[in-house]
Amino acid sequence: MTEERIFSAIDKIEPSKDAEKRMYDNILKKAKGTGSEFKILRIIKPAVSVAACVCLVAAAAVLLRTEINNSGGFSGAADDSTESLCFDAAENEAAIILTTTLSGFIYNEGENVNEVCEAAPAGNAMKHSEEQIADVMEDGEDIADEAYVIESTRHFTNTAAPEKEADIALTEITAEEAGLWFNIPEKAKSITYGENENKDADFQTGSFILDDHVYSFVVYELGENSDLSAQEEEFPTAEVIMNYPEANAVLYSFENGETVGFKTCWENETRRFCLTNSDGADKKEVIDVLVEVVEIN
Amino acid sequence: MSDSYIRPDEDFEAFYLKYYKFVYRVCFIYMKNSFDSEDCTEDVFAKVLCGKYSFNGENHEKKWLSITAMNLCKDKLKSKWHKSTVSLDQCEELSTEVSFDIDETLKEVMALPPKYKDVIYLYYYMGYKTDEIAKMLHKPSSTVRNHMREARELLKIKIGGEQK
Repeated sequence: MTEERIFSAIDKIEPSKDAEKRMYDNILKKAKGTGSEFKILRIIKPAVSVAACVCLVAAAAVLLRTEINNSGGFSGAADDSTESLCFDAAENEAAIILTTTLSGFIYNEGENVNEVCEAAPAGNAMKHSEEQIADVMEDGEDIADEAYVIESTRHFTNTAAPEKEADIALTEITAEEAGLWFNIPEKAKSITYGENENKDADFQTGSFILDDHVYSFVVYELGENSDLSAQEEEFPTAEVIMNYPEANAVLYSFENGETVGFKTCWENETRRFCLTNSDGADKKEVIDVLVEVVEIN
Repeated sequence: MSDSYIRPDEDFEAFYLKYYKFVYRVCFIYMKNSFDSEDCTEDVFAKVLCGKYSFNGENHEKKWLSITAMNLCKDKLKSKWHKSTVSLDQCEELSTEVSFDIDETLKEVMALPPKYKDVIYLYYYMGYKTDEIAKMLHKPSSTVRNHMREARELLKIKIGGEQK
């Protein structure tokens, strides 16, 4: 196998002669018909520690999928100092907090966003942004040193840390472009993603909120050398409560203090997925979510 | 930053004509048939047309197009997984609908898992170094090198030849 053979083999690939015009016409049709369907997502790459963060607070209507005029938003480029920008929510849309770390940013949408905006005039948001981060991140979880906001290409441009992006202009990207491994249910909110590398496996983690319950997930890449045993938490008192044969998934329940938690794992040909809820969702709710995520993953 | 913002109409048509074969090539490696490849190619360019992208030169354009196409294809493949699986046998049948020769090398490259396909395409076809590829794929350089090594071993087993 030589470099030339691979190059030549790929270079021979050509569309058919009539494809040029056909594709162009289809592109115009697709572009005309595109709605604001993209979700805002947060991707977090875990890092060793966080030293400081910059907080940008912005208002957007992403989750409600309404276009806003964001010409007044995100005007300041973030640097390593503390900075906070608050924007009024457009119409009745939810406000979103965008928090930047030294290497990127995360965001959170939540009920206390307006409170942060009101209580944190420019230049004085550091305390609030740290609190926000503490609320957002799970206990003991490392803060990201690289994170990306995935947004509709229509809505806003990330000017927070352009110099920290890779060669590719990640100013406006979607979930697809970020190479996310876990498709989130349509109505989920407060979505987070993280990507991890260790010697045993590549995996992505994250969470989302659906019907007021938090679901966390882990997705591993399957491979010959993947050792997933260190990654998956075992529950010694787990009880199998259902089998989902379509995905070869088994739903376990486990005691979680005063609540009952649920966990299930399943695989497709390239990845292994695990989904967990431990905040008291009832079994039927969890099963509904499980069916939906298995279907779309 | 840049300054070659792709405006609709005039600039876009020129941009499309310059890169549609390039994008199609990426898509075909993942989708393995002309229909889905055209669909993905269209989606990539529709994204350009809809968004306010600005590119910093031809290298930047190619990187963006490559990564966007790769991720779009992988996403489409994920959503297709439960509905149908395209086997290599089916791929051979479909290959009669393409206007080029799918030789053994290409067949084996297309049969690689996506994570290996990514690095093989970016390294051997686009000529990027592993560190650049690591940045583009948001993976550690060590992972990219591992994937490269594993992909080469797989290809060596399948199609022989010296490992490079």
